Amino acid sequence: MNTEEHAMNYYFYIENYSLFFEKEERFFVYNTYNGKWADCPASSELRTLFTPFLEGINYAVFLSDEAITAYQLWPFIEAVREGFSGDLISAGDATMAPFLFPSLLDFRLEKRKLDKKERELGQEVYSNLKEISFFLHPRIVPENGLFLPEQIFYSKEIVPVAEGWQQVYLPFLHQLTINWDGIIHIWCNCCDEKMWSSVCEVFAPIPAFKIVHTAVESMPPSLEGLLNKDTFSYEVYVTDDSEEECLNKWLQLQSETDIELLFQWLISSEKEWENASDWMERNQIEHVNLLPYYNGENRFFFEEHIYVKEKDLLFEIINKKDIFARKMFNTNYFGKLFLCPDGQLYAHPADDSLGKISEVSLPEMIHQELSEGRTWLSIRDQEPCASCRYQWICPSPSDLERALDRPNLCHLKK
Amino acid sequence: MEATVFFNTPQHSYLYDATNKAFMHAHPLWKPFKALEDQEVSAEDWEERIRDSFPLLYEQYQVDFPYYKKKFLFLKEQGFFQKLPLKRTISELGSEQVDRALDDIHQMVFEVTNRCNLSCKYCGYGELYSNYDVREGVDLNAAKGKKVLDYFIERWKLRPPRSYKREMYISFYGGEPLLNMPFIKEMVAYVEQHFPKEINYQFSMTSNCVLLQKNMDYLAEKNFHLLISLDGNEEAQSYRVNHAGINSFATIIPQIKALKENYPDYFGESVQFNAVIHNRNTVEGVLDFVKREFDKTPRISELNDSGINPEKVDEFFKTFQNIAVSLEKSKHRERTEQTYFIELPKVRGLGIFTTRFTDNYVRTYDEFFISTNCERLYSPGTCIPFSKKIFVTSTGKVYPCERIGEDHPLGSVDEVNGLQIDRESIVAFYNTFLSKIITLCNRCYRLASCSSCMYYFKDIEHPTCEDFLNRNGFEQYLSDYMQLLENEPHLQARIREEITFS
Ligand code: SF4
Ligand code: SF4
Ligand code: SF4
Repeated sequence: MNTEEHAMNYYFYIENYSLFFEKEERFFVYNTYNGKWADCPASSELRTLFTPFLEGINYAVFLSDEAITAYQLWPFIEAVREGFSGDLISAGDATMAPFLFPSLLDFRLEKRKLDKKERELGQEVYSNLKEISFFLHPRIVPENGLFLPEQIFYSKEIVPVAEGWQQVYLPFLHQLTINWDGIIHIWCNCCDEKMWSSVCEVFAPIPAFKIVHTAVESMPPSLEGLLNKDTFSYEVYVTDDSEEECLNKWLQLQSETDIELLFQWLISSEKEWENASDWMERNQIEHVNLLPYYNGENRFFFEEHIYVKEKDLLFEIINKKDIFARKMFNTNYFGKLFLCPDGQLYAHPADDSLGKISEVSLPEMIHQELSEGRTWLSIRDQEPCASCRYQWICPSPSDLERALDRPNLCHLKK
Repeated sequence: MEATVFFNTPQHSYLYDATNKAFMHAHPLWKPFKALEDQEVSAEDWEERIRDSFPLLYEQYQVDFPYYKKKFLFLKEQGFFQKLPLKRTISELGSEQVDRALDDIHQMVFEVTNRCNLSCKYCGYGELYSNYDVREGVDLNAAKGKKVLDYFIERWKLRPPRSYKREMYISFYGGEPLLNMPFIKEMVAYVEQHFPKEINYQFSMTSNCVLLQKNMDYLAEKNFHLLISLDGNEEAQSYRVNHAGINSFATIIPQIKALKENYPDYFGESVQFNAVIHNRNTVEGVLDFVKREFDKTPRISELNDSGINPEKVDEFFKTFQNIAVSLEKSKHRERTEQTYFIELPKVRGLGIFTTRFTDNYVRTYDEFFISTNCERLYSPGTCIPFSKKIFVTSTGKVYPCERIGEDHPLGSVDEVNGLQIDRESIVAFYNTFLSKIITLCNRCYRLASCSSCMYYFKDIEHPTCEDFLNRNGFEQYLSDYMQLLENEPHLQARIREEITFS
């Protein structure tokens, strides 16, 4: 700030790495480098003054000393300056405001811009597919019949893959992998010998990276054929009831074969969280992901431990690109597809199918999800999030919200 | 390229930081801070050094010194003000890129004939230019044309489509394409019969319309996208003459009007105009004329200034007219600019400026997932061969587009061997060029926005680049556009909201 005492006119500007927006009848400035906030009430006079900010024309406006005083803007300006989110400079002899690029996304594929140009969206449509899951079996633990967690597999009644599934999946896989090098997830019951050997036969020759998802109790009879560290890894599901012996077997297998291994530990209570942490500490194991699991009865656990709290959001630093991404698509779901044993392809297993792989081409299904899909493009544009200041600071809606049947996962808004 | 560049407009000081793709208003202390930082002077000593070296500056900003130092150091933590030059990757062309471009071909352009029933004074194949093969009145024969189509039809059978709802233009170019209708009709029939159903093909043609009347039923029936070359009113059209030197205006206007009358829907949907600006017309005049007569906004282009015949340079520049200069001559400049907004040179320039130099612009979903901090480009301004189109001349030579000279064909087609494209030699040709220019490009500040196609280089074997931009030039470039934005800030918002860049 230029401190010449007689300087009565200023330009007030917001840096291009900060966002300026109006929510809850307040103006907010959020700095994407340090997560600092500044805000002031959004009066109609200020709305006029800040029109260039609000309309994304210029992130600099003219401000006179009188206006700053009359609208009690000093604390707001101070907060903006202290957070390095903008500045107030003397207008001096300048007759024009400096130009600061508003931090607004210009996305070439935004629907509004594309209008009917479907060609644009359909171009190189494969590049939008990042991961594809092949469900081969709904149950991963054969003995006690435990279903895959609801958040992963949902309540859909899925019949295990029928004999001869290779004939359905193979042409699809072939078509897919000619032009694509994303990640393949294979959800299967590894200890079913027959299934395991066909998994090896079908997937091992495919160059894409593969992740085998299975239950801790469901150890593959042999790793022959699949054991290639460069293109395979394992994600093994553990619950509080799992036998420690099973975990140890996997660890032993890992030390013998050097496979890539991650334990996905389903946590539905504080107690389970403690147990998992204990085990990790005892065995000095780090490759464990604690996965909050809603079992229909533990809403309280979520409210206590999983819901976001304002004090966390206030210090959250989200970069500009992530904020832009969250405005455009669901960063949890985008680019993922799920294939069920009946040949139906889903953007999300709980939503309607995009079509049957034997009937509709993959590019068409990807295009469909890109242009009208409810999953890839589901963002926080519903209430209460739509009018919340953290709308784009909060992560995209996720499976937990689906499981709990809520639009938001916070204590801020009911 | 240095990562941070300080520059001024007449009213304000700015910096551009290429690492973060960010423009900032620059405090006067930051330039000396950056110099001290580069000299590795400890931040603790900056105040003393500045007080000694720039006493006036220090005196003026003494009170602000701690704040702006703190902000400078904060920005440094975010990657601003890097000492090392910006890390850039210019990748070589690979044969798989050529393959992909061929798989996803968007446009096939056939030079149906190199004969023409006009003799426009500024024609690219006329006396003003010297970079084309001698025109011997050759027509492309349908057998060759079909071989090109066969090549792609076979290719698509082996390689599944990577795109959905792929549209493809099959374009007929000349000379004057309407002089070889038998070829066009055979090709259209072949495409209709043999193309896979997933491909939405669309026929298109550029025509001078001398033979429009007798062909209009067919063009309308096949829904040709028709681009009509028309420079405006009679005076404006006076370079477009027949072989006897007579202005084509009186011949073509009634025919275009008949098309509009007989096929109003087709005319409304599929017909466009293109005008070349020269010393006998103006942008405003052309816009007004075409709007009034045909209710259309024409595209406007300038004369191509590469490949000029050295003996005709003076004549060329007498005829040549720059669009921006022509716009300035408009009586109703604001109205003209509004109508022509997307095509305005300043808007196009600003579009390149904002899309290449800020982090606000994202092209594809994929770009959200990859870091764009380091630029990854293939040979600066040249497109990947066949990524825009494939151009087949009437003599059966193959090029990546019709706008370049004929010295370096990338393949050929004949009736016996079909279409021959040797990917490896194309890749070698492009990469040899790249290896000769890369050191220069790596130092060039235009790299991120380079549009210098290698085919326009005077000597492709020993390239030197006329568009090379040094730091001073870059500062001027940044300053010009920031000044434009200070004056007309709404331009940027309108570009963001309305224009989709390809
Ligand atoms: S209401 Fe929505 S956007 Fe706001 S904090 Fe809660 S979850 Fe986040
Ligand atoms: S002029 Fe050069 S860059 Fe442009 S389309 Fe033709 S070959 Fe490609
Ligand atoms: S302008 Fe010339 S030197 Fe600069 S990047 Fe382009 S081709 Fe290279």
